[in-house]
Order: sequence, then structure tokens, then C-alpha cells
Amino acid sequence: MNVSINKKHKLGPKTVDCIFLDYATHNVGYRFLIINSRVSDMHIGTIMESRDATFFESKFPMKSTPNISSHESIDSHEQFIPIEQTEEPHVHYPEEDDNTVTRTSKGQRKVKSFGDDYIVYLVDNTPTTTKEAFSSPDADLWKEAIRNEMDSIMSNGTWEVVQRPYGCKPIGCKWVFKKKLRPDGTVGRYKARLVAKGYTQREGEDFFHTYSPVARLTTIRVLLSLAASHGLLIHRMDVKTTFLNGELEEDIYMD
Amino acid sequence: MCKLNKFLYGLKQAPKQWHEKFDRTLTSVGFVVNEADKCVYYRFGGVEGVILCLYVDDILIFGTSLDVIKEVKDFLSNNFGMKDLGEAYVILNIKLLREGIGGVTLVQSHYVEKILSHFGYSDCQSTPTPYHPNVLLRENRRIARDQLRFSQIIGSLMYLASATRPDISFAVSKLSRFVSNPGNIHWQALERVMRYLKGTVSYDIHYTGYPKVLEGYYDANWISDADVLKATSGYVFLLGGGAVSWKSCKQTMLMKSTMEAELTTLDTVGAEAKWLRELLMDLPVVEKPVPAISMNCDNPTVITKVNSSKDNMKSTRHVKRCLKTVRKLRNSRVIALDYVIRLRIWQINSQRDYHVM
Repeated sequence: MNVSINKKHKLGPKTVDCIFLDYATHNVGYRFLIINSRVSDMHIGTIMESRDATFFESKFPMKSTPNISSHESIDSHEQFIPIEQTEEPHVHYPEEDDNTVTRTSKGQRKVKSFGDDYIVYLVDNTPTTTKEAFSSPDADLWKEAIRNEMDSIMSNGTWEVVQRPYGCKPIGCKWVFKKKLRPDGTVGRYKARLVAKGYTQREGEDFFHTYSPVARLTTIRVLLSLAASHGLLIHRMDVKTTFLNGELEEDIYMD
Repeated sequence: MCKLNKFLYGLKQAPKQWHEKFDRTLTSVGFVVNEADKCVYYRFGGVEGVILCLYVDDILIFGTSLDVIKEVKDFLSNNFGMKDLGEAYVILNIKLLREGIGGVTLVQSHYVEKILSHFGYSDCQSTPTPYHPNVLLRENRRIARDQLRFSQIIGSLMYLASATRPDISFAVSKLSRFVSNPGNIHWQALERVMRYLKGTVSYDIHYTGYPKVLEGYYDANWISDADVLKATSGYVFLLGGGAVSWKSCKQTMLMKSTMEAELTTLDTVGAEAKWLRELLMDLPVVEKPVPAISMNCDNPTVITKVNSSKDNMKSTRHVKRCLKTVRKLRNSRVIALDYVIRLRIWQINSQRDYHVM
């Protein structure tokens, strides 16, 4: 890890050797235990937080010399697993500066116990790519969903196949899969949708002006209030494939 | 390689294009778009007619009779792929309850319960008010406490405050200024809001339908902010017996006096009043002419200032600009100022469960 600027002396050592403990809770960065230091006010056995570090993922310095820290033992094979270590107590470490104020627990880290009644298991195995979808156990259902979506796109006349014009930049597309659940938790429908990668579009080239037709909440409340005073009926409708409805003005090419 | 003719999900201009298509289709068959909110369309022949309110892909249909609603539904289904959800009982996570033909109630008790249980406040003690007036919130200079969770709770409460709960809007607007670095005192204040919600889960907005005219209440307090010394404005508009528009916000300018703070608030309120009046004027069900919106305020100086034509204040040009704007609104009969003593404002507020200021 690099030495922070205020402790760095010209011609002095620029790095200290540390091992990774976990991620810093309040900053963006890592927490390190210093195991070898030649900088005068960074002591061996202290913990510090830093972002400026280079990792050597093949070196395991604690394997040969366990228990450098006198306060607790750290399992040598656990030190590169970041999340699980948040449970370890970290009460009596000196602060990173060499004053002797001890860091007390901030009182918000608790080990969450959900009791014995809860079993955690992975429910969401929705694929993120077509490859995953076709190799998943539900491949047939996903294929069916894709076929449905393609049918609706083709019948809509969404695109025509053309030669690539000179200098055009096509935007990508991908499939998004979703399992629509019924209220009781069973899978109701397998849904696939082809989306364009809109984030590659550039303003002034591929699009000029954007907005979303959203009514103000105030408007909705005014209308509801009027419905109350004039005895209007309120019904609701939903557009199924909203965004497939508009016609395109700009020339957009897709791979 | 293919050239797109129609839209795909994910394209930047998709929502705009959808709205334009919707707009074209509706205006071609005689629908008129409301000038104040472009997502509202209406078509009236005589007394029968419908009003449509578009929220991206959700369409609310307000109709005078079932026949006209059916006609519009058929028309929409012929033009777009539509799903009929029948009578509306939930919009944007707000539940709609109707008693008979008149009277609409907006309630979000399910959402409140969800927030409480999600953030672990399901079995806390309730408090009668969302905010303690003696608590002075200052900027936190120590390490932030659980910043992420704080911002998550504020985010959930924001939606609640803007949808159906004007009573917590002051507390939420105040607390949301400390999202970047919440300390213990801010957490205590936030927990108070949650405990208040716990006791008031069933609070709702009920529109009885009477009175049919819009009226507004507003107030401002002078320096309420401990760090930047800015004033806070608050207003609420009532229509049909319930609140339709409200806000509580920190003012952007530094004010010399309560009068100036109230005047600036009146400027903000005037803009909203003007918009609401335009919205109402362009809806055929509303009786014409729409009367000036009566704004109730508890500061006689402001009323005197606005009503007189003299201009002898030693204020900054920004405050003078506010005065001019308000005078113009008053002279063009958009708003009318009424004096209410403070007591009555509080009474009205407590009766209808508003606690904006």
C-alpha cells in the first residue's frame, strides 16, 4: 500500500506491506493490517483504511507467520474473503496516527440473526444472457418467450434489413428476461424483451429531444377531487407494449 | 444490420415518441389537450364526456357515464394494444376508495406499513406529532451514522409526503437536508417521523366533493434553519374538501423580516395558484368562470403591502420583484388575499390533519 502524502518523506520509503482485512465501512477503500513498515509513524499491527493499494494476489504472508497481531488470531485462509470478516470484533486497535486513543465500537454493527425459522436459498435464477437462458433448465420456456417477442416485433414491422451505410454507428441490443410471479410466488409467465442499448446513443446524433409523458401528482389529485364533486367514474387502462407504438423520426441502425 | 422503423425499449426517445403518437391519435378524433398539463386530454359533447390522464403507460379515464367510458376504451383498444383494468382501485401505489358515487379517498396505509416493517419500526411507540418544534437540527460535523439507510428511509418518506401525506412534508423536507451526513440527532428526528407514522397509519385524504372552489392557505416562518438562517415556506390548496397541492420548502433567499418571508412565500404560492387555475379553467367539468383563488394568510402587513400601490420598502430587488408579481396576480383576479388569524389556520390544519408548517 502506498504511504499517504502527509507521512511521506522525500527519499523515504513509499510503501508499507499490509494484508487486506475487509472493505472500509465509511469510506471508499479497503482496511489493511500493517505487517511490515519502515515508515516511522506507521506501526506494525495497526489497522488503516486506504484506497491507494496494489494487491499481490499470489502472496500469502500470514501463511508462514501466523499471529503477528497480538490481539487476535486471523485465520490465514480467511483473509482474502472480504465480507465474512465484518463480524470480528475490532475494539482495541490503536488509531492510524500514533496517538493512543482507542477506537470504540460505533454501536451500529450487529450480527443479524434471523432465527432458526429462516432458511436462505437462492430464488432468483433468472438468466441475464441468451446463452444462460438456453442452457438453463427452463430453456424451452425461454425460447418460447423469445419467439413470442420476435413475433410481435416482426408483425409490428419494427425494422428492415439494410446494407450498412457509410460512417454509421449502430447501437447494440440485448435480451432481458424476467419471470413474472403470481401473488403466491409461483412463476406465472416467462417474459423476454428485446431492448436497445440506449446508453450508446448520443445527443444531437441519434436523438435530439427527450421527455416522458408523466402527469403531475397534483393533477391526478385535482382530477380525483373533481371526480368526487361531479360524480365521475374512474377507470384505468394499461398500454401493453407502450414504446413499440411510436414512429421513429431519426435514422437509427442496430446490429 | 437493420434499420429501425419502429421503437424498441431502451431507446432514448421512446417515451417522447409514444406521447407524440398518443397525442396525434387522440387529437385527430376531437380530444383537446389541457394547456396546463399536457398529459390531460378531454372530450365533451354537452354534459357527457371523458377526461383522460396519461402516466407513461397508465391511462386514467374519468367519465360521466359508463357508455362514454366504454366508447373511449374501445377506441383506445383499436389503436393501441391495451389492457382494460376496469374500475381504478390503485394508481401509483395509492389506493382509491369510493363510497357510493360521490366521495373519493386516497389512502396509502399499505405503503406506510411496508416502510415501517421494511426498516424495522413495526413495533415502536407512536408519537402524536412528526416533528418536535424545540429540536434544532444542525449540520453534523462528526462521522455519519448509517448514511445509506437514512437516505433510503428519506426516499421512501418523500414519496409518501408527496403522494398522500402533507402532514409529514415539513419534517421530511427538513430531514432531507441532512441526508449526506446524518448524525444522532437527525436519526432521532427521523425515528420520530416513523413513530408518528406508526400511530397514523390509516390517515388518508378524503374528498367529499364540497366546497367546489379552490382555496389556499400559506404561512412562512422566519429564520427556522440553524445553519444558513433561511426561512421556510409552506402552503396547501384545498379542493373538494381535501388537499390537492402542498409543499414545504426552504426559501432560497435570506430575508430581513417575517413580512418579507411571507411575501416570498406568496410569490411561490402565486405561481402554483396560477397553474392550478389554468388547469381548472381548461377542464370542462369545472363551472365557469373560475373565481379568484382565495389565499388565506395571517400577516396583515403583507395584505396591506399587496393591496396598496405604494412602493416604499427598503428591500432587495428580489423581494420587490416578488411584491410586483403578487400584485399583478391579485390585480388580474387570479388570487385574492384574505386575512385569517393564526388560530384559525391551526384549527383548520388540525381538523383536516394537515401539519404543513
